[in-house]
Amino acid sequence: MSSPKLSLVSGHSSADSSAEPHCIHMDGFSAYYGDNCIVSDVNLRLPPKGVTCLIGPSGAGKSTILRWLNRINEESERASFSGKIEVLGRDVLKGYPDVTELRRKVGMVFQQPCVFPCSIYDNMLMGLRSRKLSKGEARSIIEQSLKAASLWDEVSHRLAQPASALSLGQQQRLCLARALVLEPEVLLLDEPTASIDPVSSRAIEAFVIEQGREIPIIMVTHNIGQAKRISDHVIFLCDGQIVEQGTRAHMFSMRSAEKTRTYITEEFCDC
Amino acid sequence: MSVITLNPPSSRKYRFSGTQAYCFASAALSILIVGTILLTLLVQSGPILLTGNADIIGTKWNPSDGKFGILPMLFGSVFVMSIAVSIAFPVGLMAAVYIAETRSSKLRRVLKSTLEILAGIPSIVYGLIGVTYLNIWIADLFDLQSGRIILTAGILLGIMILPTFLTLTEDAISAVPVKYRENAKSLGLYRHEVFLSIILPKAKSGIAGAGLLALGRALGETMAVMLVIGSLDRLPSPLLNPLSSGQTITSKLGREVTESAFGSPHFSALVFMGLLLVLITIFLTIASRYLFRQKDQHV
Repeated sequence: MSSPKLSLVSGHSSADSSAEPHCIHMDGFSAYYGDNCIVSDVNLRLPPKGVTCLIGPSGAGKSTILRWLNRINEESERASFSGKIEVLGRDVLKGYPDVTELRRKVGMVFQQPCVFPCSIYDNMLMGLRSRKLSKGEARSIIEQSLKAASLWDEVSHRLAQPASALSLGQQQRLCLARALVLEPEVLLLDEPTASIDPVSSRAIEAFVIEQGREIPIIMVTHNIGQAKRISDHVIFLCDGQIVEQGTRAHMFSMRSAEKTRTYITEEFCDC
Repeated sequence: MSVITLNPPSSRKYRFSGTQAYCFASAALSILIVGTILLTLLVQSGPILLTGNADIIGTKWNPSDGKFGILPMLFGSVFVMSIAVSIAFPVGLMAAVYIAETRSSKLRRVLKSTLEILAGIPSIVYGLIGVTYLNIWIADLFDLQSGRIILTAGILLGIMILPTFLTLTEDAISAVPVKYRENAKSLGLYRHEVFLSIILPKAKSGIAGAGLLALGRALGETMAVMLVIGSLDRLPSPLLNPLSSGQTITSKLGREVTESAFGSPHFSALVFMGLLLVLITIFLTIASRYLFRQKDQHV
């Protein structure tokens, strides 16, 4: 089954979207792990702002798509892909000979919170190691990012303490703030609320909505309610292929495809 | 209304108690063995310690004159160990980083298997290689009459402990979960930055453990060192001259323990050196644990 080549920018027609700028463009993208095809023939065009949620059952290939957008998947020696990926107007491979440049532009936060074995302050500045910042500048950047992640009030008085002392929800918000410090042009979130408490989940949802007004955010989620609350656009994947993609209003309406409706209402996919 | 009992069935309770007792007995036995070793060494060291023979911390070792100065052996052990460690640790750490961080998993398996075979080769085999080749190369290199010197023993010991240190260090580095690497790389950090800032701090306890095991082997190694060190019971002159012959505690024990009469001052002095070895190992273990705990608390 080939995925429909639709644009999320202007409804559902790629022809309509040709004039619109795209932050991410995938054409005939297929991803493999060894000989296994994980994702096949995906065509995507994502707009320069807004929150795009990737939904679908486990093993549908949502995380695989996300992980190729900043080439974190190439760290796995058996992972490969074919087709075309453009990020911010440049080919993801040839356009970014230095992969660290791509990763600074395309921030990513993973499912499991992961803080580094150092203080909250040092965690926040980890991505800015190459920049020479004064203490005042560093403090200002940290404050701004932690405030955006709704964590400043909780940690402002203990920035020198180990980040590992924070709760899981706080750690995940720290990861978001840490990614934000780099002022990414795209933000990838791989189920960021899957393993944390409801209070932190709500804070992260607020963060995503707020940041989505400035930059494109692509978020994998299994939580249909969450996708409904925060997304501007939704892509439904099943068995490595896009079943349907469109605006939130379309995807959560009776006009969506039958498979999408079944998955959204019953969280079950028979692809 | 049904009543739920929180007590486990009696058979399970007894099985658990049995397992608990077995574990406790095993732990107690381990402590007992360590205690017995220390006590035995202390008791057998008694004659030389209680005679008030001040020469025990002297530099002369001559059993027929009642001189049992252990300083040359103690210094030899520390000197040889230092040379071995200064060779094995940097090389081992760099190689472990290379294998763990940059090579493919297939090559890693091949290298690891080879290293594990090297770590299991009996020390006498290393000693024979030392006597046959290393000894002669060192003599030629430094234009010496004999290559049986402290430097040769240090290099040989360094080669011997290298596979142990390398393979355990590689294990410690590889054991750091992938999520740390992925999170660090997703922040745009270069490979070396990821290693130095994230992986190394996470793996430091494991690396310290590898270092301690390697140190333990370096301190306790007898046969290979005995064959190449030259067995001279004197402090080098000048003191830090690695090109002079020397003696380590273990090589001294290996040579003389069967020649001494049980319970004699000679035997007692040898046992005392064994006690010193154990105490040095205990000190190193405690010191490294304390050091790392302090650092962890400061992070």
